[in-house]
Amino acid sequence: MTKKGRKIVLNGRGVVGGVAEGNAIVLKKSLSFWSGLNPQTGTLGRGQVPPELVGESIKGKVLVYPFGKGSTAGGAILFWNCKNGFAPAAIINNRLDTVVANGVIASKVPTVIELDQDPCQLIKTGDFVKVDADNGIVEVTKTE
Amino acid sequence: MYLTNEEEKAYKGEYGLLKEWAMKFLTKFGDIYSAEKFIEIDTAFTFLPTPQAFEPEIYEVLIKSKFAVPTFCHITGDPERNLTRVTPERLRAFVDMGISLTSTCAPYMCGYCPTNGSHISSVESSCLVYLNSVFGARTHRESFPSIIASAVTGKTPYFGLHTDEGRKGTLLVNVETELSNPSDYDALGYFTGGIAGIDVPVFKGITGKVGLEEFKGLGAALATSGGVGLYHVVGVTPEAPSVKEALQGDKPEETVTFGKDELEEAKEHLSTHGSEEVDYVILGCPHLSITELMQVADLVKGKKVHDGVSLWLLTVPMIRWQAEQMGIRDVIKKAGGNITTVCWSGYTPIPKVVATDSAKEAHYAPAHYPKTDFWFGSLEKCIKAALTGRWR
Repeated sequence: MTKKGRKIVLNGRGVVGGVAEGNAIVLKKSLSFWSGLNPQTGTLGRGQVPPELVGESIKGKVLVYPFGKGSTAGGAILFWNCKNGFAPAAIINNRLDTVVANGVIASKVPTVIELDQDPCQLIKTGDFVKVDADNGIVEVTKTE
Repeated sequence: MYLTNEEEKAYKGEYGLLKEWAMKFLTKFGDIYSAEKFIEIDTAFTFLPTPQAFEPEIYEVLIKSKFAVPTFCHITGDPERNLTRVTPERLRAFVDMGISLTSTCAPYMCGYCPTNGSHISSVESSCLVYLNSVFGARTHRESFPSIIASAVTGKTPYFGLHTDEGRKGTLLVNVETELSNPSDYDALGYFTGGIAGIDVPVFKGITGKVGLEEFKGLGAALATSGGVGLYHVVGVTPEAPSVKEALQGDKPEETVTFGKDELEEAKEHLSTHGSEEVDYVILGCPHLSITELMQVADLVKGKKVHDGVSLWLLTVPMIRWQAEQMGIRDVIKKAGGNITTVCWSGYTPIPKVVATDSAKEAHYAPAHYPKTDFWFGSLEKCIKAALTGRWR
């Protein structure tokens, strides 16, 4: 078991650069920003995320999920969300759907993909995560 | 990425701010996916460019520019119901940019039919999967702003679904049950999308008729539970004369079976199983074809939609016109049904129990209407519910 305060370093590929940190929101399943993210409040939507995360704001958080799916409006929704002041600190995906690529490039959200361990299993919601997207490095501090 | 001299000039701003923005975006987009070069596109299909989706200085030059390729555009709404959100002035500006309005998410039913092997750029998850899979055209799962950057430059980075390798089937789906109507294909797509994610599924063993209506629902559902941009149906779609060709001679990364149980399970999953007293029936996500509207007209002819039930049929403006000319709009109207061209109905007033033939609608709508119950089933079953007020 991972102990509280223990640090884990993961290596992957940074696709949109920048250095950021924040508490993690981790989804085990793929996410559509359309219906899944309300760009006027920066919060996660019902039906797309587990009930306990519905209404949770992504502002300043490190959003971790396997990959994007669903509507191609997603890129514009993330952009609009960020313009409205609710940008996540960073995004971590296993694989990068082209719709998500649109959103993170346009919104300049530091993004790391293809980590050497599955971030959706290893990182838990609430863990503190430092993302160095210039070098593709993710440092996780466990909170439990 | 390798840039030609002309592309380099655009990148450096020699052709103005808009082309510079577009080339810079597309180069970054291509670099992420290790694209070696750009490829020219023939046409584009986009959402309406709205100010929220762009930096203000880019939007300002964008709406005064001319697209490099014929560009088709989906605006949602229904002019008959005063539900069009675009002002006439703005609309004229878009037309001056070179935009053709399709006013549907399913432009392949009204003249946007790119050919096999052609390179294009398309948004709308349900549309682009159709263009890729059924027509054999080649497009990324485009979004904003890549679609606009492509339309402005006439180019897209060459990777993924534009390349032969990127179109290789990776998930083999053995279909071992009879699919008896288009909503069964919705269920097949919904089941498969959840497993495929952003990979390319290959369907083997489909024995019945597969046409426009089946493809429409299959693709929309694949891009709802998953992010599928391309699928192959062995013996039917252009890149899949055989399993071997669909998989490009390789072994599938994963093989799954879709049998009677999986079909029933997918259908069950798309209903909330509450009250059976239906008060709202919505068909046409993606938009209904003329064949489907004729089918509805046959089913409701001389009958009346049950008291307290709203029947909404969503279709393409051109198909609504067709239905009007053919007299079937009148048949549906006399029975109490409505034909509209909106995409998302935005239910008003909020119904208690909805019936739909669309996996996409049944997936997304419950999140927006948590107190409403949903039933998913065939067009026939939904129309029966509209006429009787019961889901049976």
